[in-house]
Amino acid sequence: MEVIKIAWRNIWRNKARSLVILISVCIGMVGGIFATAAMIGMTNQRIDTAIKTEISHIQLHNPKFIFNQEQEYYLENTDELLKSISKSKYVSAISSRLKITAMISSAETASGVIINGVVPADEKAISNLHTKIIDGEFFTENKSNEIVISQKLADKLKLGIKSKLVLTFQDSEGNIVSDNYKVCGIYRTTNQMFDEMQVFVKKSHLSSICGYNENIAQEIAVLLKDNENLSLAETEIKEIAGKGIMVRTWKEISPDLGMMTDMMAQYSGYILMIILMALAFGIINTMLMAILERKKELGMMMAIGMNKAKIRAMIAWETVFLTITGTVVGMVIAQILVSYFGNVGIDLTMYAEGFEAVGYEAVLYPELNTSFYIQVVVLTIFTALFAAIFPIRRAIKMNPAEVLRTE
Amino acid sequence: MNIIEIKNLHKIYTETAVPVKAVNGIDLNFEQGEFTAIVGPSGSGKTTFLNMLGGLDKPTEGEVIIEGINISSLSSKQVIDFRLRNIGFVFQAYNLIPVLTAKENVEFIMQLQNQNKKEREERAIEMLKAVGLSERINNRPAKLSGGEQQRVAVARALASKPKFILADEPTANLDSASTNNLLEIMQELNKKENITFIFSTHDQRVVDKARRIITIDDGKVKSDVKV
Repeated sequence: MEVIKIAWRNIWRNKARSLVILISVCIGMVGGIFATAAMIGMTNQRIDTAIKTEISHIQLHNPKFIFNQEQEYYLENTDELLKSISKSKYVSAISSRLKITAMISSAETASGVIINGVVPADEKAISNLHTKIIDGEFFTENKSNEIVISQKLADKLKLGIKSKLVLTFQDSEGNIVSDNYKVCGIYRTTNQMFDEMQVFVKKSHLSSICGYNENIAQEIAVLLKDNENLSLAETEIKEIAGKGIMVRTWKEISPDLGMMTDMMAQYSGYILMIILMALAFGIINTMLMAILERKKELGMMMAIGMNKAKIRAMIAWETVFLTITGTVVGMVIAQILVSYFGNVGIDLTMYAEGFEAVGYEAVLYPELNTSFYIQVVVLTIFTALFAAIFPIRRAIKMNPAEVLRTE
Repeated sequence: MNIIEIKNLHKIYTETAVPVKAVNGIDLNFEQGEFTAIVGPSGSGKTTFLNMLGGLDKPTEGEVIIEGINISSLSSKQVIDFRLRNIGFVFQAYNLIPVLTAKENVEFIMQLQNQNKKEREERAIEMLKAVGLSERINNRPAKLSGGEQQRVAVARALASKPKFILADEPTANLDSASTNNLLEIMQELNKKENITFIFSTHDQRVVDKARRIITIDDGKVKSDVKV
């Protein structure tokens, strides 16, 4: 205990020098933690958007549809499937969709799109797309041939609410059919690629035009209550669906998103390691100076019988205290910043177009979980112990008789 | 009864271009309860001799035997432990730990000996009382005068219950009043507790109090006088 007490008091002997290193550690920590929180927040926002707006947690398809998105590779008896899956304790909402590739045409121009034939009530439960409507509404009850398109597509086709347009696609028998629709809603998400391709119509109407019965769908999307249960839910749904149906999680549907999560964890580790390594040299320098200044004192300690293990422990504790104090202060400041900007967001709307082109939101909400802070503390202790090696070696090599000799 | 036997002690420094014979064949014995001053001009080999006596330096040749143990043959780990349990040190520059109070400085050596907290505290207070510092136990070295700091150093040396105390020029940085005060305390401890003190010194006031005076010059004993 005495060794720990001396180590703690020693760091306050030269306050100015200790403060310089503490502030350096503190600034490094704030920078590293906040940058990591911003990256993780950005990634999580992208994943959250993808799950809630675009792909949900789990999707079911005819296996052939995955490799060749032809409408003929559909799922049958979806009603029973929907009922069975919705009974799972992990499932929050479920929806079946027709997915048909089509040509959308206005008086001005035409474009390739994917028609999503949806049940509006189910879709509202599973996706937040209805909250992204910026003009009109997400379907009305009375009319059947309504379509919801994105603002990007509306601008491209020069369409507005109540504008008419034509969708041209193949029916279930391979015949080309054209159908008139009236725009009832215009949405805007933060993913321009999604906006450019996805249009939404009522499933009942599309089924009748294509010649499908109501129990046919190309896709079933499942929203879970908690992403933490993803693999458990996947296993259960696979059992319900049986062998002939492909069940995939969002990580498999969009591997780039899954990869991003892993990459972010690695990046944040690298950033932290680089910061800590840079700080380690500052700490080594400070500790070496401290040891050289106190060589007589260390010589006396060795002379009166303090063994090398205790000398090592004292210097290691001193280095750990010096580093950890700055780390803790830095972590507190970083947490305050992360909490504040986690609520109000970091406004990068001036770069909105660039962000949205790759599916990201222009307002970032930094976030970090507790385990990251624990990692920081563990890494900091390792860094401090690494930094202590050189001062310890210097101290241990001292000859007490030599250093005690008074000039 | 001899507690220290020194046989044919040599120390030659070979780091310089011309080897320096700092100690050149010393044979001496010390008995329990001695109050001995080792004197001699600067560079005569006093400090080197004392360092070898305290196990801080290894002789090039010869033996230092303390209560039957040849400390020159001990490993560095063994000699550190031997110093901790058998030898008390008082240095010219006091060398207290500045971040600890007087009491904590005295307790420190007992903590190294793994004594329990209660024993440590009681003995630290007792030792500080013995050197007349019972009022200053919670002061750090910076708040103590040079004389007071040296008395704390004596208390620290005594606290570990050593077989003897080695003091290298203990009064060199003290004024007359502090020197007299320190010497009186050490003399009293020597008489009452039969503690062995061995000083190296240039200070005539220390020499005047000593009961044995050993003069060293050119690394050899020139005279050994019991007063």
